[in-house]
Amino acid sequence: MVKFKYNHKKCDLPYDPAELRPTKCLKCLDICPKSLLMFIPFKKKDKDGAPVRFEIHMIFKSFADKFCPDCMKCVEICPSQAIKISF
Amino acid sequence: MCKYCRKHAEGYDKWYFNPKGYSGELFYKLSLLDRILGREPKMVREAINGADSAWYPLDISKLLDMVDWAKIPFFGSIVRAYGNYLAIHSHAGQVVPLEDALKISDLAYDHVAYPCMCKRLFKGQDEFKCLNFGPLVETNRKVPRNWKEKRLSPEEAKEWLQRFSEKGYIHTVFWWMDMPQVACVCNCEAQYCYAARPKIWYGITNTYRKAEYVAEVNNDECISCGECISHCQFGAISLGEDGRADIDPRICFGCGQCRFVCEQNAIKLVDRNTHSIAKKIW
Repeated sequence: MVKFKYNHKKCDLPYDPAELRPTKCLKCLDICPKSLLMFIPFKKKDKDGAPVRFEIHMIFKSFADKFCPDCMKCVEICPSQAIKISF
Repeated sequence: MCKYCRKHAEGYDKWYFNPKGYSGELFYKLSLLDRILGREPKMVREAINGADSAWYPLDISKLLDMVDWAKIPFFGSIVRAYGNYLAIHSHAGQVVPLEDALKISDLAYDHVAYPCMCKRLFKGQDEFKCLNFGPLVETNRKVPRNWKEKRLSPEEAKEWLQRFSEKGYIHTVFWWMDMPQVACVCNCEAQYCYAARPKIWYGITNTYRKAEYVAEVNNDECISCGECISHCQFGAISLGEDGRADIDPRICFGCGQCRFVCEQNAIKLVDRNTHSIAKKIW
C-alpha cells in the first residue's frame, strides 16, 4: 500500500492572505500525472479567521495504490525533500 | 427523457431549460420552518456556508476522503447509494453539449466567471472557466472572503463558452441543492475534475451525470484519421476492426467535443433515451 508522508516543517508554502492560496512552489501538484495531490488549509485559524498555513494532502488516500502510478515524480521534484512515499 | 427531466422539466425539453431554475424563485423560497425560526432560506444558508474560499479546500478534501469508503467490499455499496442521494440534494452536475450550454447562457442573468476550483486545488493555477450566474453570485458576494470574479456580458459569456469548446473542455451544468435550480456551467477537464473522478473511479453515478445525448460515427464518412481518439477525455473512442473510429456507447458521456475535431463531420449526437445500449447508462 502506498503511504504518503508530508513534513510541513521542511516545506515552504508562503501564502498571500488576499489570494488565500499558496503563491509559491506547488511543483508537486503540477507534476502529479493523476492529480492526486491538493493543498488544504491547516485547521487552526488566526485572528481574522484565515488559516495559519497550507499543507499538501493526498486525496483518495486509502486506495492510492490503485490510482498512484508510483512514478515518484513528486519526491524528485520537491526542492526541500518534504514528501516521502513508502510502499 | 431521463427521470430528472420527467420530474423537473415541467413541460420544457430538459430540466436545465426550466426558467424556474434561473429566476431565483426556488432560491429565495422560505419553508415553513424557516419562517418560524426567522432564518434565511435553505439554499442561501448553504451557499453562504460553503462559499468561504479559505475553508473550501478543507471541506472538499474531507468529502473526497469519504469517497474512499466506496471501494470497501459490501459496505461500499451503501456508501455509493448514500453518495448518489447526497449528490442529487447538494451540488453536482450533468454534461451538456455546446448548443445546450449556449441556450443556458441565454436563460441566465448576471454572468460571472470564477477560477475553476479543481484546477486551483489540484494544479495550483487560476483559470477563469467556471461561469456562474443568477442568485448564487449575489450570495457569493456577501461572503467575508469571497472569490475572485470577472464580470461578463451575455455576449462575452457565449464567446467564452465557444473558446472553451475549442480548447476541448467539457461543458457541465451544475445544480444547486434542489434539481431545477441551476448554479453554473463549468468547463471541465476530466483529468482533475472532482465531480468526474468519483464517477469514473468509484462509480458514484450522480456526481457527474452523462448528457442526454450519445455520439455516433457515420462509418461511410469516416476516413480513419484518428483525430477524435486523442480528443476524447474519457477514452471512449478506438479504432474498430474495419479501421474506422468506433465509439463505445457505454463509456461515451455525450459531451460532443469529438464532433468539432472531425473534419469530415462524420460524428453526430443522437438522443440517449432512444439509443438501444446507452439508454440505461447515466
